[in-house]
Amino acid sequence: MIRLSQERAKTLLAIHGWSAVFLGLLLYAVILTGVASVFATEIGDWSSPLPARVEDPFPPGTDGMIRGLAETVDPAFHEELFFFPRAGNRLYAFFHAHETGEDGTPRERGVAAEFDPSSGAMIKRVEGTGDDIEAQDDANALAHFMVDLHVRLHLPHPWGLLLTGVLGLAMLVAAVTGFVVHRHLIRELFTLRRRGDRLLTARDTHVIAGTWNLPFAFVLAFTGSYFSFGSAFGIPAMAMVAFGGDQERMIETVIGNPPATDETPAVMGDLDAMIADARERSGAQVGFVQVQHWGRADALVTMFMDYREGKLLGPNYVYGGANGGFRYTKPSLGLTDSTGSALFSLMSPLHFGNFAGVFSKAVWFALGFAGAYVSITGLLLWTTRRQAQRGWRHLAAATHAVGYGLPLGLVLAAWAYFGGRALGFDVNTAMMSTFLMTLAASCAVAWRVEALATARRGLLGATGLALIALPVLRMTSGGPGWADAFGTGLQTLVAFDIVVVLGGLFCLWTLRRVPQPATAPLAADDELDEAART
Amino acid sequence: MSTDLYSAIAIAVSLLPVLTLALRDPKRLRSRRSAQRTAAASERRVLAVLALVPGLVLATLGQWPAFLIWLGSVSAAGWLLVLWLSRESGRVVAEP
Repeated sequence: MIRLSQERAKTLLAIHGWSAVFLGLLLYAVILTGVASVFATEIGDWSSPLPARVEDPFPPGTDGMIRGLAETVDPAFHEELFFFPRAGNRLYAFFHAHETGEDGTPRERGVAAEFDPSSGAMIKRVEGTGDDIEAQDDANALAHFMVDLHVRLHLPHPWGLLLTGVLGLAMLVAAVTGFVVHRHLIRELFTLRRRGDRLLTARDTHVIAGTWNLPFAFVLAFTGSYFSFGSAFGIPAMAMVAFGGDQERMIETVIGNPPATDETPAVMGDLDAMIADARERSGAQVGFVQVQHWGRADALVTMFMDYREGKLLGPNYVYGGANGGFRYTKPSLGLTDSTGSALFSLMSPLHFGNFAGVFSKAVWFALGFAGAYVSITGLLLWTTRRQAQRGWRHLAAATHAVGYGLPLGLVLAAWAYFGGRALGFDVNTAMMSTFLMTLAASCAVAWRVEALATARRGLLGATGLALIALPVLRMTSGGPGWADAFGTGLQTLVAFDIVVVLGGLFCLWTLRRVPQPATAPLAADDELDEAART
Repeated sequence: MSTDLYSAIAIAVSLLPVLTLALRDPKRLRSRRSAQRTAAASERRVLAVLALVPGLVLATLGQWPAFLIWLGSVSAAGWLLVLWLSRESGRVVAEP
């Protein structure tokens, strides 16, 4: 054992506490933004609807839209094409070629366009790298802001993914250690004591939420880590070991769809007919389409289908691009069915909860909310019971600032999105600066006020009011009102407005609770746990 | 039958024994100093098995989307049920 002076031991203990709380708060941020990201598609549809409801983002005439765009695009970008529905069911198409960026990572460069599927009209056309195009995608910017915060905390590649991967592992560790530490999980499955000490109640509240959420904490943490580490570490490492660092070649080989090279020019087959055939074969909707080597004899069209009723895996179909003929059904990995491919494919539905429409998304939202609740109640319990000790007051303040300031920051980022779009500002800059300023203001509030409960009430109240006013801001900044929405078949817009207002009312409703002062703020962990067992 | 219908039926069937388990849970009632009858250990075991049966049926039928929705919904509903039952005493102190 290393001998330490009392002063040095205290310093190390403070570093230990700060680092643990810092990681915990980052994990809370990842979980909370993950909760919002469950409804990323709906957020995009709500924030940027087209003038009328689009029933089918791939209607007859899709072929004409894509073919028309292809004629105006530099043939160098015909190497690959993606097209899929985005915010408001716009049909988004991206012709591109692959290149290596200044930092040595692979990237795409090309031409992207958005279409209104109802009229076939091109809404927007942008050229540049994938990142350039993403930065100009105002329609999807609000949803993208939430998702990017969840996926990589808005940090540069690969650091953000590595950090969220580590946080996912930390969540796994927290779930396992929580399971082991709380030895009476089953016996206390229904016990939440409201009488007696406030800390005992807080402890029960945390444990109960954690216990009921335990299976999904494992699932979400594991799949989240998998996605983060797979992109940031797994793919580059595998490419380095087996493909001399060529990630494109590695992905083509693993995915198993490298088209045989034949550069002979050829007229593309009818995409409308391929889409209709894929729908008939699967009984499901098309989710995403990839075309390799547009306008060449070796062109391949891959249709990635949405989930079929009662299934967790959607089929993928490959068509010959030049003649439009069906070639084969393709697993996610390789060319024949395998357990590895099935497990790989299962990661998405298990993490995103998008396999059965709004029903499964609502359940995943509730489970994510429970996860965020567990993490923040754990941090509050941990810091509040020590706040009388030197240094811990700051940690308790930081926990309150992030715990209640982060939701406020996300809501005000949405305010900045609508306001920025109406005033002609860059919405991404507006959202990020508003988000950061809100967090800074939340910190100021938490550190300035004497009682942290007051900071909590102020931040939660502000979040509630901001949520209630959000639909009004959406409408006044150019979004359709409720009468227009009903008239154009956009009822989901109204439903989302109502959900947002209900969220605000819920925040205000929680303010009626006035926490009682703790009678034993310095109770040791084992004393509290002993009290819990009696 | 659709995934939504499978899920809804399974959730409803599971929540009945979960509710009974919660209402007669010995530890919960003891902590509230309640004189209500508690469930015996054997009774609790039977109720727990009954709560899990819908999930087993869905798994046997290969209705995996409905199984996941059932598992998630029962988890979330169980949590909310405990919060709701703890409020009966009328004194609310927990934060957040």
